This record gives sequence, C-alpha cells and structure tokens, in this order.
Amino acid sequence: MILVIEKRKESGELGRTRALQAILMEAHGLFTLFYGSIRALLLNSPSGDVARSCLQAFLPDYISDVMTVKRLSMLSSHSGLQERGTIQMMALDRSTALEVQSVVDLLQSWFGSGRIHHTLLLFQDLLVSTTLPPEDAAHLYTYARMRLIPAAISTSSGGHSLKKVLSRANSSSVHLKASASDITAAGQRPSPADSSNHHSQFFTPRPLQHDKWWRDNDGFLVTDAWGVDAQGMSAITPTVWLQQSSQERMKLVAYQHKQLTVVMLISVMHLAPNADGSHVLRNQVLEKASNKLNALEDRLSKEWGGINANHVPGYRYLYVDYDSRVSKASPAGKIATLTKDSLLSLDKVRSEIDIAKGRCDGSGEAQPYELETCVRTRSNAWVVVRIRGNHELYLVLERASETLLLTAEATEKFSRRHCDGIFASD
Amino acid sequence: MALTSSKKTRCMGGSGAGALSHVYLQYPPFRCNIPGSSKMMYDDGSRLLLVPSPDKMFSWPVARHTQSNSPNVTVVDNGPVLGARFSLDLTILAIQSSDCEVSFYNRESGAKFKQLCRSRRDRILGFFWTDCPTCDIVFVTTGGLELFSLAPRLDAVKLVDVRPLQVSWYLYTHESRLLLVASGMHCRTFQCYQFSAAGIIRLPKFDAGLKKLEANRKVTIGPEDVHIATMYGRLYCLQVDRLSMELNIYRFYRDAVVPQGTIPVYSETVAFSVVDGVLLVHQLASEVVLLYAIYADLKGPISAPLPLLIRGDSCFTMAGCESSTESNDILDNEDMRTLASSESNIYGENWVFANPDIILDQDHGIMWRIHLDLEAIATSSSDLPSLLEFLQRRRLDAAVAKELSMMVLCNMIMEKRPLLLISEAMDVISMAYSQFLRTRATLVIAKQPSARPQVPARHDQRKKAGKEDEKDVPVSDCNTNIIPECSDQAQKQSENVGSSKRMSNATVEQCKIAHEVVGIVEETDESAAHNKSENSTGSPLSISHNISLAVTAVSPEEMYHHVFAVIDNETDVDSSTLIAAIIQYLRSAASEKLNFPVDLQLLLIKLLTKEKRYPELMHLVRTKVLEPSKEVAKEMLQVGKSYQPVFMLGLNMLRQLSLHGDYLSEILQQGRLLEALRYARQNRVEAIPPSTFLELAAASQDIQKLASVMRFCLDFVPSFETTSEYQTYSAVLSQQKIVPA
Repeated sequence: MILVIEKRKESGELGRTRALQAILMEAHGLFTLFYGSIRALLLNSPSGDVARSCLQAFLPDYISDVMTVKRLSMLSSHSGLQERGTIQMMALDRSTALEVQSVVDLLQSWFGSGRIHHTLLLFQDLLVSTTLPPEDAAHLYTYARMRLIPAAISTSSGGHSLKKVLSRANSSSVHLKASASDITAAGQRPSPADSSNHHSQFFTPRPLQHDKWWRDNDGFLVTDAWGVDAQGMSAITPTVWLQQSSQERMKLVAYQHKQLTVVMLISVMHLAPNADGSHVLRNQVLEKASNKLNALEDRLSKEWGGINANHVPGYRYLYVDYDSRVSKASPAGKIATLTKDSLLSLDKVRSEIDIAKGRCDGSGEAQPYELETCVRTRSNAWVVVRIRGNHELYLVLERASETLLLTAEATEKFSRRHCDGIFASD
Repeated sequence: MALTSSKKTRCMGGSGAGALSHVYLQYPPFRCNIPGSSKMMYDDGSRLLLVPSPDKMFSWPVARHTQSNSPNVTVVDNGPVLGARFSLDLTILAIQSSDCEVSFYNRESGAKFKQLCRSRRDRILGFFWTDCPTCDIVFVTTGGLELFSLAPRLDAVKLVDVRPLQVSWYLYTHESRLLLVASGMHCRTFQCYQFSAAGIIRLPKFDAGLKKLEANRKVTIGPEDVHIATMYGRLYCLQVDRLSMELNIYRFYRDAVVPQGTIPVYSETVAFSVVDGVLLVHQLASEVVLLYAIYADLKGPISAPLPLLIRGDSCFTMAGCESSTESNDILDNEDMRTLASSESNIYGENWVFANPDIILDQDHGIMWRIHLDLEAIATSSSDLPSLLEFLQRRRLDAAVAKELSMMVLCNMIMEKRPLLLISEAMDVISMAYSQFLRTRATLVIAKQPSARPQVPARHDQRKKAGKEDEKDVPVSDCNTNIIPECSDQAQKQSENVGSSKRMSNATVEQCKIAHEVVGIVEETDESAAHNKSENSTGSPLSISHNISLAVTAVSPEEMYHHVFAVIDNETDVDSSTLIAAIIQYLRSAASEKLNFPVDLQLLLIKLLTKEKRYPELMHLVRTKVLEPSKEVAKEMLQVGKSYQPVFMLGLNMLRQLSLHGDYLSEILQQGRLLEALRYARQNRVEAIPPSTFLELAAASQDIQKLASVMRFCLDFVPSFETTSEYQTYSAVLSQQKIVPA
C-alpha cells in the first residue's frame, strides 16, 4: 500500500529485506492505528484527499523517527538479534502476574463493563499485561514505546515542552494560539466544534510529532497532537483504531506513575455523543485506582531484574514468538560485545532463512515450518537457528564450544531453560 | 445454593414466628427437678452442673447440645453448701460448708476429709481447682490465697504456699485460668494471677477505669461489674462504669494490662456471655443483646440490638428420637406448657449468667445455653468482607459458618458486587484457609506422642484413666514447647528495658511485643483447652463437633465446587464477572501460597474461551497461573482447535510434562509422522506399535514416507522382519519397486 523507499546498500552495511519490510509493516500498523485502514478512509471520502493528507501528515514524522542523518538507524549491526514490531514482555512471577491481572480487572470494573475496553500496562519499555489481541497490542505497544513511556516523555522535556507546560499552567490561551498556528502552518484547519465521530476529517492528528506528550500533575498524559477542543480549553482526547479485535475507534487515556504506564482504551461507541468519558475516568482513577497502581509500581520495580534482566551468560540470542508477537533478546549492551564478523554471518544466515521461509509460505503447506541450522563462522563462532512453526530462536555463541555436538547441547539447554523446551530437537 | 442444614427454627410462645434475633436460647432447656434443692451451680472447671440437696450432690455433665440424662449422685454430709466444685479429673468433690471450712469427698474411694483455712480471722470467699504444677486447689480468703496440693493417696490436702493479700471479692474462670482479686476501699484495685500449666504468673496491678471521678468517688465496684472474658484465646477484663454508661475493656498480657478502649452500654445493669469468641452484652433493662467481635480492634457491634429469643430446633428433636416420636411429642407439649409460665421471664430476676455461655434460671431450675444464629447475622450484615471474617472465625458451628461463607461469596459474585469488595472477600477466605493449614501443622506436631521428662511426675500419678491421659498431654506438650522460647524473649525484652532504664512504665510498643509472645501461649492454651473439652465429653454430637472444628476454612477445591462451579451452572451469569472473581481468588490464593485446583483452572480456560480472550489465556499459561498439567494441556488442545497458538502451547505443555503417549498421538493426528518417529526413538516410547506408523504412512499415499517408516522399523524394532506388517508393507513397497534391504 505504501511505496518503498529503498536505500542503496553500502559496502558492509547490514540489511535484510525482511528487516526493511518490517519497517513498512510497522509504519502501516501505526498508520492504521491512528487513522484507520486506508480502505476505510477511501470509502469515506472517495476523492482520496483525506487519505492523502493523513499520509502526508504521518509519513514524514515516522521517517524522521526511523532515520538518523540519511541512514536508516535500525540497520545497525545489532539488528540481527532484534525483531521490529514485536513486544518485549516483562518476566513476571505467578503471583505478580495475578496481581497485575487483578488490578487491571479492578480498573475495568470501576467504570462499568464496556467502558474501558482494553488496557495495556507497561513498566518502563516492557509490556506487563494487555487485554488486546497480539496485532493491536503490538501496534499500540510500539507507539507507547515511542512516545508514552517515561523515557520518551522525559527526553522531550526540553525548552519547547517546558514552555508548553508553563503556558498551560499560566494561561491556556497563549499555548492555544501557539498550537493553532502550528496547525495552520501544517496546512490544516483547526477543528471547528463538530461531532467527534468525524473529527479526523477536519483535523489530521500528528501523533508521531516529537514533544507532543506531557505529563499532567495528576499523573495523566496529555497531548495536543489530536488538536484542541472548540473552546480551546483543553486538548482533545486521542483516539485510535483497533484493527484485529473490533475495527472500532477507541479513546486513549494514559496514566503514568513513575515507571508504570497504563494505557486505557474506551470505546467511542459506548460514550454518549459529545461526551468525553475521559474526565470521568480520570477522576475515578485518581480516586480509587491510584493507590493500587502505586503499589503495583512498587512491586514491579522490586521484581524488575534491571536492564540486563534478559541476559543469559554465554549466549547472545533472539527468541521470537510470532503467534503473540512477543520477542525476547539479549540486551543491546551485550549484543554489542559480539564481533562484527559474527553479526554479519548471522545476518546472512537470516536472510537465507527469510528466503526459505518465503518459499515455504508460498507453497501453502499445512505443516508448520521447522528448521535447525548450525553455522560455523569465520571467527570460530557458531550461529544457531531453530524454527518451530511460529517460534524462532537465533543464537550466536562466540566463546562457546569447539564442536557441533557441544553447540547443539548448549542450544538444548537454552531451549529448556528459557523457551519452555519449544526448540528441543528429537 | 441452599443451606443443606437449613434450620427449620420455630419460635416459642408469644415472641411470634417472625421475630428476629441474632442469639437464641436452645429449646428445650435442661431442667432439673430435684426436690428440696434451691440452688444450681455451674462448675466451669469440670463442666458440671451441680445441684445440692440436703444430703446429696447431683451433677450433670454439661456439653453442647446434650440433653439431660440421669445425674451422678454423690452422698455428702448434711449441711449448708456455700460453694462446690469437682476436681478437674472428677474424682474429688469439694464443698465449702462454712466461712472457714471446705469438705472433700472422694467419689471413688468414698474417703472424706476437711480443710480449715489457715487463719481464724480470715473468711473463705471461695475456692477453685487448678491444673497448674505447683498446687491442686486454691482457697481465696479475705487474707489472701492459700495454695494446697493433694496428698498422694488423695485423702488429705497439704498447704503448699500462701500469698497474703487483702481481698474484697474475687473472680475466677477456669477457661482463662485467671484469678482476679479486688482490693482497696472501693474495690477498685485489681490484682490478677494466672494459674496456668506453666506455673503461677502474677500480672501487674491495675485500677478500674472510671470517668466522672467526682461523682464516682463513693462508688464501690462489685463483682457484678467486672467480667473475665476469653475471646479468640485472648484474655480480657470487662469493667462497667455505671455512671458514664461505658464498658472498659482491658486485655491481659504477660507483663501488662492494656486498656483496649470502651464501648457504650445502654442499660444500668448488663450481663455478659461469650459464645464462640463473640462477646454478648445483655442490656438487661432494655432486654436486648449487642454482639461484639473483638479481634483486632474495637469496632461497633456486629449487628443491631435484638432481643434474646427461645427457639426449638425441630431438626434436632426429630433426629434425636425418631423411633419414639409419639412419646417425644407428649414430652414436647409438656415442656411447652411448663415453659409457657416461665418463658415470659427472659432476663428474669434470678438469672445467673455463668461463664461463658450458660444461663441458670434459679427460679425454674432451668439451664439455658446461648447460641448464635449465624444465618440471621449473615442476612442482616451489609459489610460482607467483615462478615466473612466473622464467619471464618467461628469454631462452634463451623459447618454452618462455612456454608454461609460460601453462600455469601456466591451471592456476591452473582449480584455483581463491586470487584474490590469481592477481592477483599477472597483475601479473607484465602487467609483463613492458610491460617488453618498452619495451625493444623502445628497441632499435628504438638500431638505427636513423645516422652516428656519435663512433665512433673506428680502430674502423672494423678492421671487415672487413659482418657485423662489423652486430654492432659496436649496441654503440657504445647506449653513445654512454647514456654522456653517465650521466657527467652521476655528476658531479652526486660534486658532491653533495663538497659534503657525505662523499667517503670511499659510502653505500648513493648506491650505489642509481649502480645505477640503471650498471644501464642494463650492461643495454644485455648486450642488445647478445646481438645480437652472434646475428649472429655464422649457423646457423638461433640465428636462431630470435633471434626467440624477444623472446617470453617474453605479450601481451594471447595471454592471451586461450591462457589465457582455453582455460579457457572447458573444460566444468567456474565462470564467476565466470573473470570474477574476467579482471578481475584487466584491472586489471594497465590499470595498465601495455596495451590490452584485443576478444575478451577479448567473452568477459567473454558470461560476465557467462551469470551474469546485467547491472548489473556496464553498470558496466564506463560506466567504459570495455569500450571502445566495433563488436564490443562488437554483442555488447551481442545480450545486450540479454534485458535492455533493455544493448540501449540498445549502441545508443548504435553511435551514438557513428558506425556509422551499423548504428545505422540497428537502429532500423529497432525500427520507429522517422521517427527513422531524421531520423538519416539529419542524418548524411548514403546507404547505405540509399529503398525500405527505404517498404517498412517500407507494412508498418506506417500510412498517415500512409507519407505522411511519401513526403514526405521527395520533398524530399530527388534525382529521386525518376522511380523506380518513387514510382509504386508514390503509387498506394497515392492509393487512400487522400492524394496528396503
């Protein structure tokens, strides 16, 4: 649907076709999250100008995020052990998992069934729990990681947003003028008072613009990326489209306490027209849930194993579960210790496998794709790949064993301990 | 869900069938019609009802729910009976016949002897038997305490110790082993001693709390204003301040007496009963009862003030004598007639409230026992988590309390009460159950028979029957186990205090530490006392009570069968509510480290599937909330038919659990033949015959596959060439001109 801007391969640069495709998939995912599917946009306005303006608003923002000085930033050497568009989960112990689930249930119960449709809970940049189906969860998670998590919020606390917060605190009118002029500069008309259902037709939100989210004193995250209301008194609550679960538009309300970010989705259909449920929600969260959420944050931060929580000594690995779009990998700091040779070999192996997989997909075989490969690289490292259906495991063992047998054993051990034995070879 | 033991209660007399009450007197009461007797006495040490007649002493064992049977008769000398108590092993009856003399009658040998009090100037106020190691019987005289022990041949008592003390009046309850002595001009200074199996503990003195000191200056406190209550194994002193209409509550610790606060009273005269740890304050003037559950802190009454009613339990009488229904009816009617005259006399003039839950109606020769109506309390209570807490603490009607608890939970979920409330309720249930597991574990340890040299030899001599043996061992065991640790801590504590030179006033914090220590002692005492009572009363009813003692706590399995499964069977229940409730329960159970029953896990899977919440289901599997088990795996495979990733998880679970047979049959169904062969060889699965593989291979129409399976069988199945399958399939292969060598 979206044109590909292919970049010429420079010598020695890594880049699998699949990895590039993943960028496009992600861009498409985010686009549909913000604006709904392009098909729907075209159906609503056959002339295509709405779709075009959406794309125009979205793509530059997205590309500016992915590019760093004319280079696709993701095509660094680490990409071999990373998978774009997947979710990184926080490892939870059984009772904590139940605690999380219970808080989520409580949160949903306080607003009557059907009000909060879904929640997404993040601790730092890790997903703790979600009620969304994998696809939608992955899109929303990607967005939350880009703009909503504490790290994304705090880095944007430069002069610009500080001024914003200040101007908000002092007099909202100053800030409103500023944002209105922003919008006109972008070639759009500020939204008149309209039914919120067709809001996006008049104003194209730019959710990926930098420094558009900030944290209110009460812990809620606010943005004016979706515009401001007719009176110019407050920012409009962002809305997103869910694709997989219900093809429905949802209001997005986010609450943050220290490292914990809670994204709540309220169904627009269940709200009375013109009513903004988020205010009610905000009051109730503050009144009832904040204690629970604070306690949960405490518990999670105690349980969090630190930045190297996922590190397994001796292994550099990537484990992807495409069923639930979850991946688990060695921390970036540890991947950086690998030699460039090993990473290049891994990249080559992966691109070979991508092609093989593509062939397999095309043949339409019913049986799940299975694969086991061990490759000895020039620098005496081993690159191990194991695929079982939608589960993939990539390992780079640099100082591991000398023999194939020992490598296989090390892989078995890893699979048993860290992947529930999915990749056992029999 | 219906209460299986739902009581068909009928109210007697004029109070009407619809009258409400939270406590009731069990009809029929115990009656004694001894000619010439005017007095009933309840001996709480031996749990006997004693009725003296001029030359005999009649005694009935008092047990919960037991009917009157023929009394034991002890022949005694003619004379006044000021007080009477049986020794704890029931062999010796002691009767106080005058101010200075106590007579002893050995029921077994028929021996008689007397004991005067030490000094002529003192009067004996009363006496009691004790099981503390230093003495057997204690006389309380106006001049102090006189401690006697029995001679080895049980024909005399010998003075062991004297504690000089000015005594105006005293209170003693055997349940608490606590003696409270009042002294001073207005009897406002209280001194307490505990005659426990660990020895005699002297507690610090304390003064009665009276507000409005000016007006109260001349008020003398009498024994009717003070009450020793044992609630949940803790000892309290209740003292009425009549002028300010308040009840002061003190709690006894080993080294302190700590005021707990006050509760208002609404009547000039009040009486107290304790039923199953619940304090009943009878407001005699207004003839209502207020119930207080004093556990953690003082709260208001647990229910509205309602009168005390008399109730007959039709279930009881019918179950009691089914064979002789007619005669029973006649008896019933008779009872009703005699009751009719006295029944208007609730809170009559001559009612004596004996510790803890006995009421003696001296006028009519009737003994009542007070019962809690848990059902009524449950229906009238609105704070459900507190109600559950209350129900979970019941020990007497444990079965009823348990069923009520489960019913309350069911209703909460079905009525879609706020989830937070449900969550709190689940916490209560899980905590009670894990508490139960812990106490059971300690009881099992304590009950293990072992020779204990610490038990004094004298103690052993006194034990006559084997039954007696049984009932005494737990007490001494518990105490010998606990006391050293306790005194250690107490010592440390006093050292600390000494070093900081704040010896004089025990601060609240210290009391809290002491509370922890003494609390253990007290509670084990209490549980031991329970054991004792159960062992000593041999009737089948109290044995069933013994079993039910343990079962207020609701186990996870019962939660499934009696709560969640029941709700699941209702048609109009929202699955998401039930899911949320189950999650809340699992959370509370996990925090108490209880196991999750498989059935409950299966139910959760079923409900999540019904709601199509597959991602959450998978999340629960991954975080091991749904534990790997064969049942769960099978259910997942079933569910997985509509959602492939769940299927994969289930398959992997089978493999993780090494359920080779099930795993193989699953992958064979998928047609993954070669993988299955490899797996079978790797894990040495021999349950599946080669023919299965060969048939599947042949059915797949893939001649190569068939050849591979053939090859495999030839290589790894011993003497495969001799089987008929070899013949059949090699023929098939040779047709295709592929013959494995």
